[in-house]
Amino acid sequence: MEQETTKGRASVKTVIKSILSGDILLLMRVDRALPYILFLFALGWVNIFLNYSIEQTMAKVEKNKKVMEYYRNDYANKTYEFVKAGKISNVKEMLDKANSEVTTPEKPAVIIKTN
Amino acid sequence: MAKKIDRENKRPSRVLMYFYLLFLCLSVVVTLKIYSIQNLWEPNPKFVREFLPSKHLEQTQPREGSIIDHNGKILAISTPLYNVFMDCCVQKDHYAKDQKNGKQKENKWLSKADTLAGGLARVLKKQGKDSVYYSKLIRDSRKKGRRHVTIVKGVDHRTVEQLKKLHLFKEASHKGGMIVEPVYNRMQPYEGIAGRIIGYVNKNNPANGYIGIEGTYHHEIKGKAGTKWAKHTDHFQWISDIDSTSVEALDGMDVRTTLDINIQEIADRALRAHIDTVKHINSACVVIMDIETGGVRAMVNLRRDSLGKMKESFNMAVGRASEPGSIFKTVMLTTLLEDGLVTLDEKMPIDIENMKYPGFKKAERDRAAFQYKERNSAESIPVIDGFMVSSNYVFRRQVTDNYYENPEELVTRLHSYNLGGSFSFEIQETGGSRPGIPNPSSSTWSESSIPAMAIGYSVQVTPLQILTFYNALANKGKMMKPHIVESFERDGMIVEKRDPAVLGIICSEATADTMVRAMKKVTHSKQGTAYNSMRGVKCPVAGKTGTAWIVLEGKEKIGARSPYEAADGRRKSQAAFAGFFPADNPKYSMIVVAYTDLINGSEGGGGRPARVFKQIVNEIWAYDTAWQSELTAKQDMPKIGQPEIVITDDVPDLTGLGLRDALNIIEQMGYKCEHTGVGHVIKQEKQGETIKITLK
Repeated sequence: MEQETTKGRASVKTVIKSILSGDILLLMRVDRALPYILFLFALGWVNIFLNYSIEQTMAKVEKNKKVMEYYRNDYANKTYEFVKAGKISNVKEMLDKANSEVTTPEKPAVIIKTN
Repeated sequence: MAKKIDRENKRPSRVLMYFYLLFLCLSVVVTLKIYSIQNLWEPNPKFVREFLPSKHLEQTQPREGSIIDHNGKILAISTPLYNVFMDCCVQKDHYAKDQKNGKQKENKWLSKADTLAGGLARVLKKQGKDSVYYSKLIRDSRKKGRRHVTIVKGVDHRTVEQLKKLHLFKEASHKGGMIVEPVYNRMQPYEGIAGRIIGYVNKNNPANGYIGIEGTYHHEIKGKAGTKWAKHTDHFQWISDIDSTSVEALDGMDVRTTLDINIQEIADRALRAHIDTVKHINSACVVIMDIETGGVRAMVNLRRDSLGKMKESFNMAVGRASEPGSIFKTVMLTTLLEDGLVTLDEKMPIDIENMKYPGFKKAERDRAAFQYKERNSAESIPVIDGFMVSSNYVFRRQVTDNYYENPEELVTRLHSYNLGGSFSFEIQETGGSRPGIPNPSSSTWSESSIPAMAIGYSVQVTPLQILTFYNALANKGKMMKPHIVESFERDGMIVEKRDPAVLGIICSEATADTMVRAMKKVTHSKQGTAYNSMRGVKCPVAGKTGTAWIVLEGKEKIGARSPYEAADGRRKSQAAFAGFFPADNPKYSMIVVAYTDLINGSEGGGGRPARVFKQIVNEIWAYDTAWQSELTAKQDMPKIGQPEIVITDDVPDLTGLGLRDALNIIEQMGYKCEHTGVGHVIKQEKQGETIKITLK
C-alpha cells in the first residue's frame, strides 16, 4: 500500500516534472502534429484576412449603391423631362417658336415598301 | 570532466527549457484571462462605444413602380427633388481657436461665401433673389450660429449638380457646408392629362384619398420595405451585416395601362376646344375604347371649378349615373330587333292618335315625327328613319306595344347588357350616383315606366356602361369588359397579365350589322340628327345622338314646374353622342357627354358632342398606324451611266449655305465635294477636281 502511494506520488511528480521539462510534448508526439498546428494558425490568419476583405468589399458595395442611386435619380429626372418634352402640345410649341412649318399630320402616313 | 561535459551538453536544452517554461506560463495566463473575459469581466461602456463595432437595424426603401401607357410611355414616375440647405458655421470654431491665422482664414471663407452667393443667384434665377440676399443670409446665419439654413427647396437633379460646382459647395461638406436632402415626389410628365385616371394618394384622407390607378394599386406600385442590420467598420463606414433576419426590399411594380397618351391628349384638347368657353357647360367627359379588347384608350373628365377653369376633378365616366335619353334608343332597337319584334323597314303611321301611352294624361305630339312627315311628305315613318331623326313616338310605341304586358322580359334583357349595376371596373369613383334599372315589382314602378324607358328615362346608367354597349355592337355582338390595366411588370418582365374578358353576347351578328346600318344613317344621311356636325369627317362614323333633361336637385326644386323644369322654366340637360369608327370595320368606340347648368333651351347631342367626336376621329385617323397606306415599287429604277464631269473655274462663294445646297451647287459645277463639320459653310478650298468645304 505504501509502495502504491509512493508510486502514485511519484507518477504525479513525474508528470509535473515532464510538463515543466517539456518531455510531455515529446511523449504526446506534438512534434508530429506541428504541421497541423501551423495549418490551424494559417487558417486563422486566412479567416481574419478574408473577414477584413469582406468588410472592405461591403464598404465598396455600399459606396457603389450610392453611386447607382445617384445615377438612378439622374435617369429618373431626365426621363421625366424627356417624356414631358414629348407631349404633343409641347412639341407644337417648340416648333412654333422655331418658326417651323411642321404641323400634326392631317392624314395617315404612307409607308414606302421596298423589296 | 564527465560532469563538465554533461553540464555543457545540457546548456542548450536548459536555455530551450527556460523559453519553454516562459511560454508555458504565458499560455496559462492567457487561458485564465480568456476564461475571465468570457465569464467574469464586464467591459467599460465607453470602450464598448469606442472600440466595438456598433450595429443598428435599418429599413431599406423599395423603388416605386411607374404607371405607363399602352405603348410604354411614362404617365407617372417617382423622381427625387432636392432640398438644399447650408451649415453656415462650418470651421467657424476651428478658425476662432486659431489665434495666429484664424481671422485671415475666416475672412477668406466669407469671401468664398460671397462668390457662392453670386453663383446661387445665377443658378437659382427662378427664385428671384440676388447675390446680396444670399450673401447676407450666409453671413447673418454664420453670426447667429445657424447650421441648417434653407437655400432652396424642390429643385431637380441638374440644378443640384450646378450648385455642387459653385465655390464652397464644391468642397467637402465639413468645409463648404452643403447639405442636400432628396424628397421623392410622384410626377406626371403629361401635366393634368388623364389626371383623374392616373390619380393620386392622399394619406390624410383615408376614405377618399385613394384616387385612380395610383389609389387602387397603391400597394403594388409602392412595393415592400425591407430590413437589414448595418454595422460600423474600423474605417468609419456603414456596411450591411446580412444575416437570416435580413429581409430584402421588394420593389414596386410598373402598371401598364390600356391608355394611349396621344389619343388621350387628342381627346382632351378636342373637348377643351369646344367647351372651355361655353360657360353653361359645367362638366363633360369623353371615353374611347378599343373595340376588340375593351381596353380604354382614353378617358377625359373635365369639371368646371369655382374659378371657371376645366379640371380633372371627378370621374364622370364611371361615377355619374344619369338618365341617358335618346342615346338609349340604340339599346331598345337592338332588343326589338334581336327579339324579332320589329324590322328597320317597318312603317309606322304618323298620327297623333297613336301617340297616347299608358300613364300619360294626353297624347304626346312628337315633333321629330311630324317634321319628318312635312319634309318627306310621308304619312308613315320607317323604324330606321325614326331612329335617324330620334323620334320618341317610334320608340315609345314599339316598346310599349311589345313589352308593356311583360316588362320583366325587357328588364331582364337590360340587366343582361350589364346596365343594371356597376361592373367591376378597376377604378371606382366615390360620391357619385349609382346605376340602376327600375324593377317591375318595386313600389316605384308605374304605368309610364315602360314608355319612359323606351326613350332613355327612368334608367340610370354611366357613360362607360353606354359605351360598353355600343362597343359590343361594333364587335358583332360580343360585349368586352372595359378595363384599364393591361399588366403588372417589374424590371421589364411581366409579373401579372390581365387578358381581355368577354362579358357576354348581347345580340347576333346579323342584328349588330343591322344596327350599324341604322346608326350610319344618323351620321351620314341628310336628315340624320348628327349629319351637320359630322360633315367633313375623314372616315365613316356610325353613332347616335342623345339629349336628356337632368333631374333638379336641392334649391333648384323650389317652385319647380316638374322634376326637370325649374320655376323660371329653365332646365339642365345632358347632351351625348356615342358611336364607333370606321363604321364598316370599326377599331374604336367613343362617347362624348356634356352636362349643363340651368339654361333656357337645351344642349343637343348632335351639336357640340358630335363636333367633339368628329374632331377626335379626324385626328386619330391621321395619327393611328392602322390606316396607313402602302406605297410599293411598281418597277426597278432604270440604271444611268456615269455622268460626264465638266470642270469650270467659276466656283461661287458658298459661305453660309447648308450642306445640301452647297453639295448641289458643287456637283452641278462638275466638281467633287469633301466636307467636314456640321452646320453652314465657313470655308471652301479648291483642290484640283475637288472642293473641300468646312462647316460649322
